[in-house]
Amino acid sequence: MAVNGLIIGLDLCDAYTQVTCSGKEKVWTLPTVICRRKGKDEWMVGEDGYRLNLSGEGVIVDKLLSLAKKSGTATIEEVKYTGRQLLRQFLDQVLAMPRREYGLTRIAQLVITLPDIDLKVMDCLLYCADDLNIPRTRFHVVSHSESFIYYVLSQKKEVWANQVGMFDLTQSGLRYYEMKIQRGIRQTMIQAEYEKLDEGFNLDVLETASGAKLADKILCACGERILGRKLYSSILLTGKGFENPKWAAGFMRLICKRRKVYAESGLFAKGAAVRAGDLLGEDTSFPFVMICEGRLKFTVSMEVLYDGKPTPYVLAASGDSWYEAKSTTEVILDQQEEVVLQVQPVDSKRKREIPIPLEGFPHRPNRTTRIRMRTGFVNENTMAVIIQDKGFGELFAASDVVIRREIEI
Amino acid sequence: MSLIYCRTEPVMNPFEVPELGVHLHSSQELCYVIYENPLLVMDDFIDNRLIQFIRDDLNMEALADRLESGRRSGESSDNLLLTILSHCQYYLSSEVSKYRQTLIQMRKKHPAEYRKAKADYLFERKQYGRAIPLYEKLLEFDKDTVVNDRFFCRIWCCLGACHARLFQFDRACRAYDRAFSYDNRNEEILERMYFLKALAPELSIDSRYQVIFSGANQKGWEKKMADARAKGWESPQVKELDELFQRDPVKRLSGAAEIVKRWKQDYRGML
Repeated sequence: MAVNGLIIGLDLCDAYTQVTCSGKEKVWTLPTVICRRKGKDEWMVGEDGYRLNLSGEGVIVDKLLSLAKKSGTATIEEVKYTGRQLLRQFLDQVLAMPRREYGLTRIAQLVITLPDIDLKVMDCLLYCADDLNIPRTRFHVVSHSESFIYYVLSQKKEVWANQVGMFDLTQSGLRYYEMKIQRGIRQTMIQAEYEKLDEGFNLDVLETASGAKLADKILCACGERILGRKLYSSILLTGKGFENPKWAAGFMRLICKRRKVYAESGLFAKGAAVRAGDLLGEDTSFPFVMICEGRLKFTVSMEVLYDGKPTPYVLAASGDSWYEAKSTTEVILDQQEEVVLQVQPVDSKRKREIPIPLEGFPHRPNRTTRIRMRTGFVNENTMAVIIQDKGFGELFAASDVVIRREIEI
Repeated sequence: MSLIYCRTEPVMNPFEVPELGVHLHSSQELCYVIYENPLLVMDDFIDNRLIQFIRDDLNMEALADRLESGRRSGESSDNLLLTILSHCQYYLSSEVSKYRQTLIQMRKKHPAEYRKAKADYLFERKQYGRAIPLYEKLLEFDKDTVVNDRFFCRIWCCLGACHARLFQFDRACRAYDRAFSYDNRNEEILERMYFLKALAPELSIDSRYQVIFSGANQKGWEKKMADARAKGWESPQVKELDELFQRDPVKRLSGAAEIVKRWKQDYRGML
């Protein structure tokens, strides 16, 4: 199917940003900084920004993600910019790179991947997309874990037949990701988790031979502890630290023993681009339940009468992105004074019931109270529920009773 | 105990039920009106307008087709009503069966009794203007075991009550006069005429009634009248008026306009 526009994957971190397009090899890597030329409304990003700043012609702002996260501001030549404004400007400049390269301006799908999922940053990014005229249907935010899954799944099956491990070494630290596959009769579940390792070190130490040797030793100890005797289909290496892994000869020997090892520098951006491409299709190419950061680890449902039969109605399913798992449902109360939510964790068959009493609702004849239930998530484990009395048309007018609850799941 | 799932119904033109003074916005409301108001819907409720609402606004193509073919083949309206209830699944099948029994019981009634029940239903819903022609139609029935003098007396009394509630005291008085002609021992009719005269002293009542009134239980009627007036003073509506007149002139005026508007709406609904 010919797609009209760019399918972009963008890895946005505090230190660096990587951009790539689906089906293309080129990956742009640049520091996450933005610089405004003095006296002009002219913006530069990445290395160009640094150059402008070093020449004394511009004022630079870095750590844009952190700035947005704490709703901070930066003042450049007496003009106060919010984190969102700077991030918007930065994204505009970054998106211009593939636009220029491929001669296309329309963005068919953009997936941004973040190292950690934070509601404030996600909200901020959504507003940025609005400002950049990218419709929300064509804009998504995922975690690094999710990008990791999509990247791995886009590779040959032998790469992910079983467990996959990955080391991500950046200036921000060392992380170990692990992806497991559980093949079931009805569905296959893919689970990815990560661990922030204390063994992380500043990449500057690699510039000296003794520093590199020490870093290799640290990684070896770390690898032995984590990998142990576990069986892996493959081990992946990513991040700036592994761009040239010659310094880690010991570690490479360790992980290459009876295992396939691949190094990929723009892995998260590429994974995001795979996800973006998948979002464009009518059916997904990856019909799996994916459990990772940013995705729900449980299903929330409630029992309703549908076509006269009791049927579980799913409000949010395990594997859904919690940020996008929003639902609006209308039901009529039939001798019911509460709404009971049923929560089923992905790894258990036991359901937990959470009753929400409909306190303060007007008394009406049976089946003449319609309620509108809106659900969404504040974070991975907190569901927000809004229940509104809608009355029963003009026969029984709606009251202004609204119940708002945040439920820890 | 359950929650009934509501399908999305893109209602752009709500269905008006003038007898109830409401518009329907969903299939559940339609079922509720059918179930709770059998006398309202039994005869000519299912028409092209309703079928169009079901098809276009409720997006229930199959049900609309079924009703249309049922009407063409001369299927009874009772069956079509039951089809709607069964299709929408708002009521349980046991409740739909109970409704079927209600319809059968209604249909078993003498035609005059059935029509009177229908007129009484409208009266109960304060639809006096709609009830009057139904009661008048009943006066055209030939006498039989059910339609006798007592029956006509009841119909005239109902007409009297309808006119009285529409403040048409002259007509009400004439209706009670006719009722009394069928049952001249009925003290209740006299009592109502007495009350009418008390409410509208300018009302001209046949002089023979003055004589009858003097011989009747006037003291008891006076007490009833006084009790009703006292009860009226205590009613929330009067209290609302009292509160309104204690407010400053601007608020009083806007409040009064609101109340008068409401009264007008209520009165128009009765006609």
